[in-house]
Amino acid sequence: MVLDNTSREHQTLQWLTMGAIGVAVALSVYGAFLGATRASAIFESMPLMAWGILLAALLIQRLFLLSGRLHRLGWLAMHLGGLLILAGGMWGAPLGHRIQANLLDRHKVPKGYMLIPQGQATNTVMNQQFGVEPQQLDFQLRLEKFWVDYYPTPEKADTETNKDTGNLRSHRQVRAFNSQVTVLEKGQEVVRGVIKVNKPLHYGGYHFYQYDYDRAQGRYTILSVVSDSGLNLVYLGFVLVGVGSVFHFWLRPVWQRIGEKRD
Amino acid sequence: MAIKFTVQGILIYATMAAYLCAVLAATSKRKRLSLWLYALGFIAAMTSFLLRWWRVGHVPLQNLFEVFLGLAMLMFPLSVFCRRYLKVGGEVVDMIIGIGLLIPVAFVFREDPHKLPPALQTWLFAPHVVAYMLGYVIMIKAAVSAAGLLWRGNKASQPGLVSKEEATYRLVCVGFPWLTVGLILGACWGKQAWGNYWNWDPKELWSLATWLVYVAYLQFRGMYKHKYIRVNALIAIVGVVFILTTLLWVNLASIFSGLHSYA
Repeated sequence: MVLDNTSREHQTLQWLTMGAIGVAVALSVYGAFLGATRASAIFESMPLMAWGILLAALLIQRLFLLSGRLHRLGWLAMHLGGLLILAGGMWGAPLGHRIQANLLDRHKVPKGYMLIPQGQATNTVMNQQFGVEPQQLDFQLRLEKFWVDYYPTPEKADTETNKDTGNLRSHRQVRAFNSQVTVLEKGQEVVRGVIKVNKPLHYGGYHFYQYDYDRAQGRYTILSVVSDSGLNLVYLGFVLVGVGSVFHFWLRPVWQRIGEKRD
Repeated sequence: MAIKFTVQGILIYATMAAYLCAVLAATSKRKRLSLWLYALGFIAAMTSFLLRWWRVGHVPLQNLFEVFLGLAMLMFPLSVFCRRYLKVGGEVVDMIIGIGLLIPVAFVFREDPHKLPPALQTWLFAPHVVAYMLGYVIMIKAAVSAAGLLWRGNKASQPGLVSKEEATYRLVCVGFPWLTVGLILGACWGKQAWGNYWNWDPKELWSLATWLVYVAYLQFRGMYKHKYIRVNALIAIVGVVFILTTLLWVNLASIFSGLHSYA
C-alpha cells in the first residue's frame, strides 16, 4: 500500500482533494475564456460561493484528519492560510456584505465609483452594474485638485514610432495621475491625502483608488471605492501560504539534510 | 523578423553562439570545454541584460524582450545549482532552451525601451516578475525530466544523478514556492494598483490554474509516491503547457485581453 494513511477515510479524503483540485483547475480555465467581467459575475454568484464553502470544509477536514504529525508546520500553515484566504475573500465579496448587513447591521458598500468635480465634495458611490441605486458613505470626499505628471519628452526622436507620427504630445508618457483629496466628517476636515495609481487612500473601512479622470479637461476625477472587509484575513492567509510553502519545500529538506550529515 | 545591429543585439547573438558551441562540445564529450562556453554565454547574456538595465533606467523585466533575455541568462546558474545541490543534470537541454528563448529576442521582439506606466511603478514589480521567471524555468526543467522519463525510462542519464522521477519531484519542490510567492505578490500588487487583490482577469486565472496543476502533482505524488510514475510525469508536463499558455497566449492573443495586456 502506498497511500500515506491506510484507512479508508483517509483514502476517500485524498481522492476528494484530488477531485476538488481538478474542478478548481477546470473552473479557472473556464473563467479565463469568459474574460474578467463575466468571470467575476459568475464567481461571485451564489452557487460558486457554495463551492467556496465546500472547499473550506475540505480544508478543515484535511486539517483534522491529516495533521497528526505536528512537525509538518509548513503543511499546516499552507492549509490554514488557504482557509483564511477563502474566508476573507467570501466575507469581502458582495454576498459577504449582504450577510454583514443582515447579521451585524453593518451597512457597507462592497465596491463602486465616485465622480468628484474639482473643488466639490460628495459621498455618493455609484455602481457600474445597471439598475443598482447609488449608495451613500457616512463621510464625504472633496477633490482639491487633479493633475497629471508626464515623463520629460525625449531629446530626439530615435524610435520608429516617433517617425510615424509627427505629433509630439502623443509621445508624452504619463508618469502619474494625482488626486488631492480631503475627507470630511460632518463638514469637518479630518484627513488630507494625494491618491495616485499604486497609492490608494485608506479611510473609514474603505480604500480609494485613482481610477479615471476627465480626459478632456481634467476637471473631475473618478475614484474606485473598495470596502476593506475581510482584507486582513486574506493578507494573513497570504503570509501563511507563502511562508508555509517556503518552509515546507525549501527549509525542511535543507534542515533534514544537515541533520543527516551530522549523524 | 529583423536583425539587431546594436551592441545589445550583438551580445545576444554572442550568447546564442556560445550556447550553441557549448551544446556541440557537450555532444562530442568535451565536458569541461562545454561548461566554459556555457559560462561565457552567460557572461554575454548578463552584459546584455545589465546594458539594458542601464539604458532603460529600471529593472528590465517589463516586456517579453526583456523577460526572455533574463530567462536565457538564468539558465546557466540554474544548471549549476541543479547539478550541485539537487543532483539533477540536463545541461544540454538547458542550453537548447536558452537558445530557444533567445530566438524571439534576437529576431522577433522589438528592443525599443519603454518608460514604466503608472501601474508598474511599485517595489512589487521586480519581485513579482522574478519569482515567476524562476518558477517558470524550474518547472520547464522539471517537465524536461518528466518527458525524458516517458521517452527513455526512469533511469538516471549519468551516474551520480538521481532518477528522472526524483529529479522531476525535486525540481517541482524547488519551483512551487516561487509560483506561490509570485501569485501572492501579484495579488498584493493588484490590491495596490487596481483596488482588488483578485480581479478574475484571464492572466490571473491561468496562473491560478497553473498553480493548481502543481498542487495536483504534489497531491497525487503524495498519495501514490512511485507507484504511477508516468502519471506524475504527465501532470508535470501539463503544468508547463499551462505555463506557456499563461506566458504567451494571454500576452499575444487579443481574445484574452485584460488587465495584464501591457505585460
